[in-house]
Amino acid sequence: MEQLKTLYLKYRLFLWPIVSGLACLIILGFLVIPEMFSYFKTQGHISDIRNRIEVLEAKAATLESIDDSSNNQNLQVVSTILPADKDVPQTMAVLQDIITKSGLILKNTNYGASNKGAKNSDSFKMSISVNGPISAVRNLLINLADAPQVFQVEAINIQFQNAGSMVEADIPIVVFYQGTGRTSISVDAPVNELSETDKDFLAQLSKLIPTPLSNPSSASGSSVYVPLGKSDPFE
Amino acid sequence: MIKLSVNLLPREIIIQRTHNSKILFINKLSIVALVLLVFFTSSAFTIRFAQSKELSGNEKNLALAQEKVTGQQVKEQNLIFLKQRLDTIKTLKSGDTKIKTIFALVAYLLPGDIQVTTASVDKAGNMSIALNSPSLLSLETLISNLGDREKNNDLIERVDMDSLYLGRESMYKVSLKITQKK
Repeated sequence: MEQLKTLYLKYRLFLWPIVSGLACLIILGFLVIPEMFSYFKTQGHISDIRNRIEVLEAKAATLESIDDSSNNQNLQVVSTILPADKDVPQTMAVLQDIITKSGLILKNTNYGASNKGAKNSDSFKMSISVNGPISAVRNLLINLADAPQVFQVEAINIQFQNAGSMVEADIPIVVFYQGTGRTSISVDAPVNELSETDKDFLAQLSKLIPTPLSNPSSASGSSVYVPLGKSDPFE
Repeated sequence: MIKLSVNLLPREIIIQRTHNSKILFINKLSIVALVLLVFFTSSAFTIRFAQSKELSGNEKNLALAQEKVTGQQVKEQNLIFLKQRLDTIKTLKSGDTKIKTIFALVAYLLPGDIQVTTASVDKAGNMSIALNSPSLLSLETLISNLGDREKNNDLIERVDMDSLYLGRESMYKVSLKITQKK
Protein backbone atom coordinates (compact mmCIF):
# COMPACT_ATOMS: atom_id res chain seq x y z
CA MET A 1 0.00 0.00 0.00
CA GLU A 2 2.77 2.42 0.89
CA GLN A 3 4.64 1.39 -2.23
CA LEU A 4 1.58 2.13 -4.38
CA LYS A 5 1.18 5.49 -2.73
CA THR A 6 4.85 6.29 -3.41
CA LEU A 7 4.53 5.23 -7.03
CA TYR A 8 1.39 7.31 -7.45
CA LEU A 9 3.02 10.39 -6.00
CA LYS A 10 6.05 9.87 -8.23
CA TYR A 11 4.17 9.36 -11.52
CA ARG A 12 0.92 11.21 -10.93
CA LEU A 13 1.92 13.81 -13.50
CA PHE A 14 1.84 11.16 -16.24
CA LEU A 15 -0.95 8.91 -14.93
CA TRP A 16 -4.04 10.94 -15.88
CA PRO A 17 -2.85 11.88 -19.39
CA ILE A 18 -1.89 8.25 -20.12
CA VAL A 19 -5.24 6.93 -18.92
CA SER A 20 -7.25 9.55 -20.83
CA GLY A 21 -5.05 9.06 -23.92
CA LEU A 22 -5.63 5.30 -23.82
CA ALA A 23 -9.37 5.82 -23.33
CA CYS A 24 -9.41 8.17 -26.34
CA LEU A 25 -7.54 5.68 -28.49
CA ILE A 26 -9.80 2.81 -27.44
CA ILE A 27 -12.97 4.77 -28.08
CA LEU A 28 -11.65 6.04 -31.41
CA GLY A 29 -10.38 2.65 -32.53
CA PHE A 30 -13.34 0.53 -31.44
CA LEU A 31 -16.23 2.92 -31.72
CA VAL A 32 -15.81 6.11 -33.73
CA ILE A 33 -13.78 4.81 -36.68
CA PRO A 34 -15.88 1.62 -37.21
CA GLU A 35 -19.01 3.77 -36.99
CA MET A 36 -17.57 6.07 -39.66
CA PHE A 37 -16.86 3.17 -41.99
CA SER A 38 -20.27 1.63 -41.50
CA TYR A 39 -21.81 5.08 -42.10
CA PHE A 40 -20.23 5.26 -45.55
CA LYS A 41 -21.18 1.65 -46.29
CA THR A 42 -24.79 2.28 -45.28
CA GLN A 43 -24.84 5.48 -47.33
CA GLY A 44 -23.87 3.44 -50.39
CA HIS A 45 -26.60 0.94 -49.56
CA ILE A 46 -29.16 3.78 -49.25
CA SER A 47 -28.06 5.11 -52.65
CA ASP A 48 -28.53 1.64 -54.19
CA ILE A 49 -32.00 1.40 -52.66
CA ARG A 50 -32.92 4.83 -54.05
CA ASN A 51 -31.75 3.78 -57.54
CA ARG A 52 -33.77 0.57 -57.30
CA ILE A 53 -36.85 2.55 -56.24
CA GLU A 54 -36.47 4.83 -59.27
CA VAL A 55 -36.10 1.88 -61.63
CA LEU A 56 -39.06 0.02 -60.11
CA GLU A 57 -41.30 3.08 -60.23
CA ALA A 58 -40.39 3.66 -63.89
CA LYS A 59 -41.13 -0.02 -64.58
CA ALA A 60 -44.50 0.17 -62.80
CA ALA A 61 -45.37 3.32 -64.78
CA THR A 62 -44.42 1.60 -68.07
CA LEU A 63 -46.53 -1.45 -67.23
CA GLU A 64 -49.48 0.71 -66.20
CA SER A 65 -49.30 2.59 -69.51
CA ILE A 66 -49.76 -0.64 -71.51
CA ASP A 67 -53.34 -0.98 -72.66
CA ASP A 68 -54.89 -4.22 -71.32
CA SER A 69 -57.39 -4.69 -74.12
CA SER A 70 -54.87 -4.32 -76.95
CA ASN A 71 -52.49 -6.59 -75.04
CA ASN A 72 -55.20 -9.26 -74.74
CA GLN A 73 -56.02 -8.86 -78.41
CA ASN A 74 -52.37 -9.36 -79.34
CA LEU A 75 -52.21 -12.43 -77.13
CA GLN A 76 -55.22 -13.87 -78.86
CA VAL A 77 -53.61 -13.24 -82.26
CA VAL A 78 -50.38 -15.08 -81.39
CA SER A 79 -52.27 -17.88 -79.63
CA THR A 80 -54.34 -18.36 -82.80
CA ILE A 81 -51.35 -18.30 -85.14
CA LEU A 82 -49.33 -20.61 -82.88
CA PRO A 83 -51.81 -22.52 -80.73
CA ALA A 84 -51.00 -24.03 -77.36
CA ASP A 85 -52.45 -27.45 -78.15
CA LYS A 86 -52.40 -29.89 -81.02
CA ASP A 87 -55.79 -29.76 -82.75
CA VAL A 88 -55.73 -32.00 -85.79
CA PRO A 89 -59.41 -31.58 -86.83
CA GLN A 90 -59.19 -27.79 -86.68
CA THR A 91 -55.91 -27.82 -88.61
CA MET A 92 -57.46 -30.10 -91.20
CA ALA A 93 -60.40 -27.72 -91.56
CA VAL A 94 -58.03 -24.76 -92.05
CA LEU A 95 -55.95 -26.64 -94.63
CA GLN A 96 -59.05 -27.79 -96.50
CA ASP A 97 -60.23 -24.20 -96.64
CA ILE A 98 -56.87 -22.99 -97.99
CA ILE A 99 -56.70 -25.78 -100.59
CA THR A 100 -60.20 -24.97 -101.83
CA LYS A 101 -59.49 -21.23 -101.95
CA SER A 102 -56.32 -21.90 -103.97
CA GLY A 103 -58.35 -23.72 -106.65
CA LEU A 104 -57.10 -27.23 -105.88
CA ILE A 105 -58.83 -30.48 -105.06
CA LEU A 106 -57.67 -32.42 -102.03
CA LYS A 107 -57.14 -36.07 -102.95
CA ASN A 108 -55.45 -37.49 -99.87
CA THR A 109 -54.22 -36.53 -96.40
CA ASN A 110 -51.74 -38.31 -94.20
CA TYR A 111 -51.14 -37.49 -90.58
CA GLY A 112 -47.57 -37.88 -89.35
CA ALA A 113 -45.83 -38.13 -85.98
CA SER A 114 -45.12 -35.23 -83.64
CA ASN A 115 -41.71 -33.70 -83.37
CA LYS A 116 -39.82 -31.03 -81.52
CA GLY A 117 -39.27 -28.00 -83.74
CA ALA A 118 -37.29 -24.79 -83.52
CA LYS A 119 -37.60 -22.46 -80.51
CA ASN A 120 -38.94 -25.23 -78.25
CA SER A 121 -42.11 -25.65 -80.34
CA ASP A 122 -43.87 -28.94 -81.05
CA SER A 123 -45.16 -30.03 -84.44
CA PHE A 124 -46.88 -32.74 -86.40
CA LYS A 125 -46.92 -33.46 -90.11
CA MET A 126 -49.85 -33.37 -92.51
CA SER A 127 -49.00 -34.65 -95.99
CA ILE A 128 -51.51 -33.55 -98.60
CA SER A 129 -52.05 -34.73 -102.18
CA VAL A 130 -53.80 -32.21 -104.38
CA ASN A 131 -54.90 -31.94 -108.00
CA GLY A 132 -55.20 -28.82 -110.06
CA PRO A 133 -53.39 -26.35 -112.28
CA ILE A 134 -49.78 -25.37 -111.53
CA SER A 135 -50.89 -21.78 -110.89
CA ALA A 136 -53.15 -23.10 -108.13
CA VAL A 137 -50.14 -24.81 -106.50
CA ARG A 138 -48.38 -21.45 -106.54
CA ASN A 139 -51.50 -19.91 -104.93
CA LEU A 140 -51.48 -22.65 -102.32
CA LEU A 141 -47.92 -21.80 -101.32
CA ILE A 142 -48.84 -18.11 -101.02
CA ASN A 143 -52.02 -18.90 -99.08
CA LEU A 144 -50.11 -21.18 -96.69
CA ALA A 145 -47.80 -18.29 -95.89
CA ASP A 146 -50.85 -16.11 -95.21
CA ALA A 147 -52.70 -18.78 -93.23
CA PRO A 148 -54.08 -18.06 -89.73
CA GLN A 149 -51.72 -20.74 -88.40
CA VAL A 150 -48.02 -21.54 -88.78
CA PHE A 151 -47.59 -24.01 -91.64
CA GLN A 152 -44.17 -24.94 -92.95
CA VAL A 153 -43.83 -26.62 -96.33
CA GLU A 154 -41.28 -29.40 -95.97
CA ALA A 155 -40.99 -30.35 -99.65
CA ILE A 156 -42.89 -30.12 -102.95
CA ASN A 157 -43.32 -33.03 -105.35
CA ILE A 158 -45.18 -32.32 -108.56
CA GLN A 159 -46.21 -34.65 -111.31
CA PHE A 160 -47.67 -33.11 -114.46
CA GLN A 161 -50.56 -35.01 -115.91
CA ASN A 162 -50.17 -35.85 -119.60
CA ALA A 163 -50.35 -32.60 -121.57
CA GLY A 164 -51.58 -29.36 -120.19
CA SER A 165 -51.01 -27.57 -116.93
CA MET A 166 -52.86 -29.91 -114.56
CA VAL A 167 -50.64 -31.38 -111.86
CA GLU A 168 -50.73 -33.78 -108.97
CA ALA A 169 -48.75 -32.39 -106.05
CA ASP A 170 -47.64 -34.12 -102.85
CA ILE A 171 -46.78 -31.57 -100.21
CA PRO A 172 -45.77 -32.54 -96.66
CA ILE A 173 -46.67 -29.69 -94.32
CA VAL A 174 -45.40 -29.29 -90.77
CA VAL A 175 -47.95 -27.80 -88.38
CA PHE A 176 -46.61 -26.10 -85.27
CA TYR A 177 -47.97 -25.57 -81.80
CA GLN A 178 -46.35 -24.53 -78.54
CA GLY A 179 -47.38 -25.02 -74.94
CA THR A 180 -47.68 -22.06 -72.58
CA GLY A 181 -45.04 -22.48 -69.91
CA ARG A 182 -44.98 -19.87 -67.15
CA THR A 183 -41.79 -17.80 -67.03
CA SER A 184 -40.51 -16.70 -63.65
CA ILE A 185 -39.67 -13.01 -63.75
CA SER A 186 -37.38 -11.05 -61.45
CA VAL A 187 -38.97 -7.87 -60.06
CA ASP A 188 -35.87 -5.91 -61.09
CA ALA A 189 -35.83 -7.23 -64.68
CA PRO A 190 -36.51 -4.48 -67.28
CA VAL A 191 -39.84 -4.42 -69.09
CA ASN A 192 -39.75 -6.43 -72.31
CA GLU A 193 -41.64 -3.93 -74.48
CA LEU A 194 -42.58 -4.60 -78.05
CA SER A 195 -40.32 -2.93 -80.63
CA GLU A 196 -41.72 -1.16 -83.70
CA THR A 197 -40.73 -4.21 -85.79
CA ASP A 198 -42.68 -6.46 -83.42
CA LYS A 199 -45.73 -4.18 -83.61
CA ASP A 200 -45.62 -4.16 -87.42
CA PHE A 201 -45.30 -7.95 -87.49
CA LEU A 202 -48.20 -8.25 -85.05
CA ALA A 203 -50.33 -6.00 -87.27
CA GLN A 204 -49.49 -8.27 -90.25
CA LEU A 205 -50.43 -11.37 -88.24
CA SER A 206 -53.73 -9.92 -87.06
CA LYS A 207 -54.69 -9.34 -90.72
CA LEU A 208 -54.27 -13.08 -91.35
CA ILE A 209 -57.03 -13.93 -88.88
CA PRO A 210 -60.35 -13.62 -90.70
CA THR A 211 -62.69 -12.81 -87.79
CA PRO A 212 -62.15 -9.48 -85.98
CA LEU A 213 -61.05 -10.43 -82.46
CA SER A 214 -62.48 -7.24 -80.91
CA ASN A 215 -65.95 -8.40 -81.88
CA PRO A 216 -65.94 -12.16 -81.41
CA SER A 217 -69.68 -12.65 -81.89
CA SER A 218 -70.35 -11.72 -85.49
CA ALA A 219 -73.67 -9.97 -86.06
CA SER A 220 -74.08 -11.29 -89.62
CA GLY A 221 -74.43 -14.90 -88.48
CA SER A 222 -72.26 -16.19 -91.36
CA SER A 223 -69.70 -18.92 -90.73
CA VAL A 224 -67.11 -17.60 -88.38
CA TYR A 225 -63.53 -18.78 -88.07
CA VAL A 226 -63.00 -19.90 -84.50
CA PRO A 227 -59.59 -18.85 -83.21
CA LEU A 228 -57.54 -21.70 -81.82
CA GLY A 229 -56.01 -19.77 -78.96
CA LYS A 230 -57.31 -19.33 -75.44
CA SER A 231 -58.12 -15.83 -74.22
CA ASP A 232 -55.88 -16.38 -71.19
CA PRO A 233 -52.82 -18.33 -72.33
CA PHE A 234 -51.94 -19.23 -68.74
CA GLU A 235 -55.21 -21.10 -68.06
CA MET B 1 13.78 54.39 -14.08
CA ILE B 2 14.52 50.63 -14.22
CA LYS B 3 12.12 48.45 -12.31
CA LEU B 4 13.49 45.50 -10.46
CA SER B 5 11.42 42.48 -9.41
CA VAL B 6 12.62 40.38 -6.60
CA ASN B 7 11.06 37.07 -5.83
CA LEU B 8 11.25 36.55 -2.15
CA LEU B 9 9.59 33.14 -2.25
CA PRO B 10 11.77 30.18 -1.30
CA ARG B 11 13.19 28.21 -4.24
CA GLU B 12 11.34 25.00 -3.29
CA ILE B 13 8.01 26.75 -3.49
CA ILE B 14 8.87 28.17 -6.93
CA ILE B 15 9.79 24.70 -8.18
CA GLN B 16 6.61 23.31 -6.60
CA ARG B 17 4.48 25.97 -8.32
CA THR B 18 6.09 25.29 -11.71
CA HIS B 19 5.49 21.61 -11.24
CA ASN B 20 1.85 22.17 -10.27
CA SER B 21 1.20 24.41 -13.28
CA LYS B 22 2.56 21.69 -15.57
CA ILE B 23 0.22 19.14 -13.98
CA LEU B 24 -2.68 21.54 -14.36
CA PHE B 25 -1.91 22.18 -18.05
CA ILE B 26 -1.66 18.47 -18.84
CA ASN B 27 -4.90 17.79 -16.95
CA LYS B 28 -6.67 20.55 -18.89
CA LEU B 29 -5.40 19.07 -22.16
CA SER B 30 -6.66 15.63 -21.16
CA ILE B 31 -10.09 17.01 -20.25
CA VAL B 32 -10.31 18.86 -23.58
CA ALA B 33 -9.35 15.68 -25.42
CA LEU B 34 -11.97 13.68 -23.53
CA VAL B 35 -14.66 16.28 -24.11
CA LEU B 36 -13.84 16.36 -27.83
CA LEU B 37 -13.96 12.59 -27.92
CA VAL B 38 -17.34 12.50 -26.21
CA PHE B 39 -18.54 15.11 -28.70
CA PHE B 40 -17.34 13.08 -31.70
CA THR B 41 -18.75 9.86 -30.29
CA SER B 42 -22.17 11.32 -29.63
CA SER B 43 -22.16 12.99 -33.08
CA ALA B 44 -21.28 9.68 -34.66
CA PHE B 45 -24.13 7.95 -32.85
CA THR B 46 -26.60 10.73 -33.72
CA ILE B 47 -25.64 10.57 -37.40
CA ARG B 48 -25.93 6.78 -37.39
CA PHE B 49 -29.35 6.99 -35.76
CA ALA B 50 -30.54 9.51 -38.38
CA GLN B 51 -29.09 7.31 -41.11
CA SER B 52 -30.86 4.21 -39.83
CA LYS B 53 -34.14 6.16 -39.88
CA GLU B 54 -33.43 7.20 -43.48
CA LEU B 55 -32.57 3.60 -44.37
CA SER B 56 -35.79 2.21 -42.91
CA GLY B 57 -37.77 4.91 -44.74
CA ASN B 58 -36.13 4.01 -48.03
CA GLU B 59 -36.66 0.29 -47.40
CA LYS B 60 -40.38 0.97 -46.89
CA ASN B 61 -40.50 2.90 -50.18
CA LEU B 62 -38.66 0.05 -51.90
CA ALA B 63 -41.20 -2.46 -50.57
CA LEU B 64 -44.03 -0.25 -51.90
CA ALA B 65 -42.38 0.05 -55.31
CA GLN B 66 -41.84 -3.73 -55.42
CA GLU B 67 -45.49 -4.24 -54.54
CA LYS B 68 -46.53 -1.93 -57.39
CA VAL B 69 -44.47 -3.96 -59.86
CA THR B 70 -45.62 -7.31 -58.44
CA GLY B 71 -49.21 -6.12 -58.90
CA GLN B 72 -48.48 -5.86 -62.64
CA GLN B 73 -46.81 -9.26 -62.84
CA VAL B 74 -49.58 -10.87 -64.90
CA LYS B 75 -49.31 -8.08 -67.47
CA GLU B 76 -45.53 -8.46 -67.52
CA GLN B 77 -45.76 -12.22 -67.99
CA ASN B 78 -48.24 -11.70 -70.82
CA LEU B 79 -45.82 -9.28 -72.45
CA ILE B 80 -42.93 -11.72 -72.20
CA PHE B 81 -45.14 -14.52 -73.54
CA LEU B 82 -46.21 -12.27 -76.44
CA LYS B 83 -42.63 -11.37 -77.33
CA GLN B 84 -41.44 -15.00 -77.15
CA ARG B 85 -44.36 -16.13 -79.25
CA LEU B 86 -43.69 -13.47 -81.87
CA ASP B 87 -40.03 -14.51 -82.08
CA THR B 88 -41.02 -18.16 -82.49
CA ILE B 89 -43.61 -17.35 -85.17
CA LYS B 90 -41.07 -15.22 -87.07
CA THR B 91 -38.53 -18.07 -87.03
CA LEU B 92 -41.03 -20.75 -87.99
CA LYS B 93 -42.65 -18.72 -90.77
CA SER B 94 -39.29 -18.13 -92.43
CA GLY B 95 -38.40 -21.84 -92.21
CA ASP B 96 -39.73 -22.77 -95.65
CA THR B 97 -38.75 -19.58 -97.51
CA LYS B 98 -36.08 -21.37 -99.53
CA ILE B 99 -38.53 -24.01 -100.80
CA LYS B 100 -41.14 -21.47 -101.85
CA THR B 101 -38.58 -19.09 -103.34
CA ILE B 102 -36.93 -21.64 -105.61
CA PHE B 103 -40.30 -22.96 -106.76
CA ALA B 104 -41.58 -19.49 -107.61
CA LEU B 105 -38.26 -18.51 -109.25
CA VAL B 106 -38.11 -21.53 -111.56
CA ALA B 107 -41.78 -21.18 -112.45
CA TYR B 108 -41.10 -17.53 -113.35
CA LEU B 109 -37.96 -18.22 -115.41
CA LEU B 110 -39.46 -21.11 -117.41
CA PRO B 111 -39.98 -20.17 -121.08
CA GLY B 112 -43.57 -20.60 -122.18
CA ASP B 113 -42.98 -23.46 -124.61
CA ILE B 114 -41.23 -25.74 -122.09
CA GLN B 115 -43.39 -28.36 -120.39
CA VAL B 116 -42.55 -29.62 -116.93
CA THR B 117 -43.19 -33.34 -116.38
CA THR B 118 -42.06 -33.65 -112.76
CA ALA B 119 -40.63 -31.24 -110.23
CA SER B 120 -39.61 -31.71 -106.66
CA VAL B 121 -38.10 -29.44 -104.06
CA ASP B 122 -36.43 -30.91 -100.99
CA LYS B 123 -36.05 -29.52 -97.45
CA ALA B 124 -32.83 -27.70 -98.31
CA GLY B 125 -34.54 -25.88 -101.19
CA ASN B 126 -32.80 -27.85 -103.96
CA MET B 127 -34.95 -28.59 -106.97
CA SER B 128 -35.01 -31.53 -109.37
CA ILE B 129 -36.99 -30.92 -112.51
CA ALA B 130 -37.74 -32.99 -115.59
CA LEU B 131 -38.73 -31.00 -118.70
CA ASN B 132 -39.84 -31.43 -122.27
CA SER B 133 -38.60 -28.75 -124.63
CA PRO B 134 -39.41 -28.39 -128.35
CA SER B 135 -36.08 -26.70 -129.04
CA LEU B 136 -32.57 -26.40 -127.70
CA LEU B 137 -32.92 -22.62 -127.82
CA SER B 138 -35.64 -22.67 -125.16
CA LEU B 139 -33.47 -24.94 -123.02
CA GLU B 140 -30.54 -22.63 -123.50
CA THR B 141 -32.70 -19.65 -122.45
CA LEU B 142 -33.83 -21.49 -119.34
CA ILE B 143 -30.35 -22.56 -118.29
CA SER B 144 -28.95 -19.12 -119.05
CA ASN B 145 -31.71 -17.49 -116.96
CA LEU B 146 -31.06 -19.90 -114.10
CA GLY B 147 -27.36 -19.13 -114.21
CA ASP B 148 -27.72 -15.34 -114.48
CA ARG B 149 -27.15 -13.77 -111.06
CA GLU B 150 -29.36 -10.81 -111.79
CA LYS B 151 -32.21 -12.93 -113.07
CA ASN B 152 -31.98 -15.56 -110.33
CA ASN B 153 -31.55 -12.92 -107.56
CA ASP B 154 -28.24 -14.57 -106.70
CA LEU B 155 -30.14 -17.51 -105.20
CA ILE B 156 -28.83 -20.36 -107.33
CA GLU B 157 -25.44 -21.86 -106.66
CA ARG B 158 -25.38 -24.31 -109.55
CA VAL B 159 -27.45 -26.06 -112.19
CA ASP B 160 -26.59 -29.67 -113.08
CA MET B 161 -27.96 -31.31 -116.21
CA ASP B 162 -28.44 -34.97 -115.30
CA SER B 163 -29.71 -36.05 -118.71
CA LEU B 164 -30.56 -34.69 -122.13
CA TYR B 165 -31.92 -36.67 -125.04
CA LEU B 166 -34.15 -36.25 -128.03
CA GLY B 167 -37.33 -38.17 -127.42
CA ARG B 168 -40.46 -38.87 -129.39
CA GLU B 169 -42.26 -36.08 -131.28
CA SER B 170 -38.88 -34.30 -131.56
CA MET B 171 -39.06 -33.18 -127.96
CA TYR B 172 -35.89 -32.73 -125.97
CA LYS B 173 -36.18 -34.41 -122.59
CA VAL B 174 -34.03 -32.85 -119.90
CA SER B 175 -33.57 -33.40 -116.23
CA LEU B 176 -31.99 -30.62 -114.23
CA LYS B 177 -30.83 -30.37 -110.64
CA ILE B 178 -30.83 -26.84 -109.25
CA THR B 179 -28.84 -26.25 -106.08
CA GLN B 180 -29.69 -23.22 -104.04
CA LYS B 181 -27.09 -21.10 -102.24
CA LYS B 182 -26.90 -21.73 -98.48
